[in-house]
Amino acid sequence: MRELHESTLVAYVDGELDAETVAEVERALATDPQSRELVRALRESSTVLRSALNEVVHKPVPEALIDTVWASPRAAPRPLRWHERWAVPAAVAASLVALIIGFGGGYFAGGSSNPEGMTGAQIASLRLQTQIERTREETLENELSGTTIRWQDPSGEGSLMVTPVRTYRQEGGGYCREFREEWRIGDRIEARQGLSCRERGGRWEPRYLLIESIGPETQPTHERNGDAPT
Amino acid sequence: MSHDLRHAIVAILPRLRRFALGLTGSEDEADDLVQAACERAISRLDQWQAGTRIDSWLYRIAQTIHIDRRRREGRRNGYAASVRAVQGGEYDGEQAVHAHMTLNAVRRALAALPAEQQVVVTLICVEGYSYREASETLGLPLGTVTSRLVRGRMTLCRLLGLPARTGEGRNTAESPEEEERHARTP
Repeated sequence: MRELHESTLVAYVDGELDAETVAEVERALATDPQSRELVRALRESSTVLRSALNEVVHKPVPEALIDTVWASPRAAPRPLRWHERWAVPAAVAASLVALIIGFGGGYFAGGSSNPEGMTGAQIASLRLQTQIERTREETLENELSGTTIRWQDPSGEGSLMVTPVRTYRQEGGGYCREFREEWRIGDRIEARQGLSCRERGGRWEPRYLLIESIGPETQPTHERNGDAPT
Repeated sequence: MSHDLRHAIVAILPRLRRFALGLTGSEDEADDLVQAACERAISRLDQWQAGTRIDSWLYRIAQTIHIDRRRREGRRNGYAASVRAVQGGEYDGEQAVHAHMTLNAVRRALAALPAEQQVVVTLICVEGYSYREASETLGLPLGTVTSRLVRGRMTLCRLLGLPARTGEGRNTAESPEEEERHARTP
């Protein structure tokens, strides 16, 4: 072995070489002070790395992290908190949900509105709402809390920005997630926060939707993790 | 079953925090990453295969989230800034002395590596994984693991001011940290 390659020395330091190669490396090291320096540097860097990170292993784990792991009522040693948060907005939510139902042409009522008698614009609006709903459901199903997903209708008539905020486990075992969203249909813009729960079959049903702002001129009132709208 | 798994996960949390600290460089960000990893793990408990290491499974989940996040925020934000922070700090590359290495400076140096290299370096140097275990945990070929490890460790030595050879590897300067190193002002 004429010249010791970096990768050989790293493997040597990590104890990944077989006995024969180790002997070879050590023979070469004997006449190669520069490589000996590198071996020492590699060992030292591992040592300082471990000591810089080890401390955290001996610190108490924050309760919030343990809560996350036990976020199932059946196994949880402590009561869940999500329904307490839910309890307050729920009272307020009833009226707001009604408001949304009024605007949504019955969509949120879960009604199978009869398309007969609807205008073309109403049908288009309903179609966009359906797509917004679907996008939100997909986001809640797949994305981590704090991730903002943007969707735009190819026609440019509708768009959605949605961010899951928190995840809870329900009494029955299913999941609920808080989210923030801002959607636009035509020139109508709404920013709102809501809670949806995953039903059997994988649908995410909104349990409440609180409107933060409505209007053509409305700016979003909340931060999205520093994620500036483009 | 789920109950036992959750117990196992709680038992691993201290080590998962250490792993996350290696990737993020700060305890707040580390806990944020652990939180996200636990959230994802809990929602996919059924995907853990009995008989495999649950710590490896969690490390894999955490590193995937971390690499995604780094990509999303862009390399310039996190990586370049932290490289400057380290280089502008107490190390001049030649005369740095071990005694001057504060914990935070070491963490910053590790956090300055590209995410893919951090993961490999932390698993092997801090968590004590063998190359093969790391390759299995990450689902990467052994060659990929070792090349990331070597690049990561050489950069780390330089960032920590340890005497690493500088003549080698220049011709294979394909990685961003090499470009960054050449571009840095004296």
